[in-house]
Amino acid sequence: MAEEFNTDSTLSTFLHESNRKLKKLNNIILKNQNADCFDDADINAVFRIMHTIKGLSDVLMYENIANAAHRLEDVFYYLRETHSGHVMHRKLVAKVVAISDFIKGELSKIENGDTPDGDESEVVNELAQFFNEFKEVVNSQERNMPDEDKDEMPAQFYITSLAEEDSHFYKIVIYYGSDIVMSNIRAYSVTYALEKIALDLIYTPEDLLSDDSSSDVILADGFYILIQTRATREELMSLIDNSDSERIDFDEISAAEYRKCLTELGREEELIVVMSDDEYNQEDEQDPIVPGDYVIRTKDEGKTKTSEKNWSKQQPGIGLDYEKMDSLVELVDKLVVAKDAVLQNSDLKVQGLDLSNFQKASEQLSSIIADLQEAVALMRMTWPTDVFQKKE
Amino acid sequence: MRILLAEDDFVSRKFMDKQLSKYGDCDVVVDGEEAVEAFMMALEDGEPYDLACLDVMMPVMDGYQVLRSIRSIEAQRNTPKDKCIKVIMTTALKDERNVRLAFKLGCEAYAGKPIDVEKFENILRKLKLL
Repeated sequence: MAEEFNTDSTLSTFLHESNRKLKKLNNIILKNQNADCFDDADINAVFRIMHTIKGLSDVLMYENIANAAHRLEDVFYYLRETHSGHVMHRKLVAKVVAISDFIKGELSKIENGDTPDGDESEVVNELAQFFNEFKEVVNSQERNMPDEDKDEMPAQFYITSLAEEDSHFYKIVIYYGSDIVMSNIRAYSVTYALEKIALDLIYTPEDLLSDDSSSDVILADGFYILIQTRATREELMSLIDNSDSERIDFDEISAAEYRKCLTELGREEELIVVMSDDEYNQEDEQDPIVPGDYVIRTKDEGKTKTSEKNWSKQQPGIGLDYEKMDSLVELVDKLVVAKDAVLQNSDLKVQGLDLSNFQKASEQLSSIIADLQEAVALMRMTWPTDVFQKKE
Repeated sequence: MRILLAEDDFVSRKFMDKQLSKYGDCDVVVDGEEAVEAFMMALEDGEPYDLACLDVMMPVMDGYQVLRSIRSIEAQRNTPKDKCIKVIMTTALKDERNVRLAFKLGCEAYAGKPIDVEKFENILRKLKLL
């Protein structure tokens, strides 16, 4: 594959965020179990929690979770609009618990690498029945009926890969006898074999070929491997068995344990980091990914429009090194951030301001900056032969 | 359905071509620049693609550049929203920032490799391509 497999941080974030919301919901449930009614703050909170879980599940296409969350969201929308948090309170709390438990169960399946295939129809039908009774009671009190909550269908979807729901996770430690020479090379042979069937493969020590001390580390502590694969234990062992090992500790672990092992290994890129929208925006501003970042540089002469190896022959004395190019890219990135800061400035949100001319100018500015970004990105991956030839 | 597949890896290309050919005519390109060229050619021939499946890491132009170019071309031509090509990014990059960038640039779906064929087909139905 052109890309290396990564553990799915989008899925991790979904799990982390959903579990966080459910924990908050659990606190609300506990608070309301002995109360007489849901107050406005709790009604809003439950509505938002279910709205978020529904939205996230819709995007990741976990339709049963989305459906269950949606039904409860509808109920709390109704409560919010009719201010009827005290009606049939204990039964309502029970329904909230039922939906929460169903969603929790499905999330656990996903965490363990299983398919979330639970049938939500029972809890949803019971909730629907309750909701009908509830509405009859509220209607009899002659409250204003709310407008229907508009269903927002997601416009964009994230399809989790097969790997996440159909794979095994293993932790393997290979120990070699002290008389074994070049244990690092033997370890390298193991990784070479495992890479063919691995969806994700992490090992330590990492640098097996150029770091001579890796051999000592392996003899002292063993060769530590974490692997995500659809292969069975037997298939894996058949690939490892030729490694002249003294002992192999081989454990199948859950997806959650796998992620924990990754963080214990200090692989910061695998950490589950859930941030607020502002923090995401800040991270994007400080270290943005931009179109062009993933262009594969090819050494082949084939399709490359400008030939890298001819550059120094054609332009003696004119140097453009990668450092300067990277600085240029960085400057353009900063320009983009600065532009966004200007366009999103809160000073512009004053009521009554006529911003039509500003709008036109800002659109033109955005267009120019987008073109500049693209041009710089293209320059970064091709030698700028044409650009500098024009100056002569 | 007319489909454009942009994938530089041979194995992935074979797999995706086989899968996508079940749904319609599939044209295959191997780098980002070819993808944009193919998209333009189809527009000019009056036979636009309905669906583009774009790898992210490709030579010449990456999938994000292709996506941005496609959306820019559609904006320039004032293409109505319902006539715009549906784009699914197909990639092993599953970092959340990559997903967010793809959504921001205007793809309809982001599919992690290896592709879950059942969910992929489900998406095509949701996008009203099947």
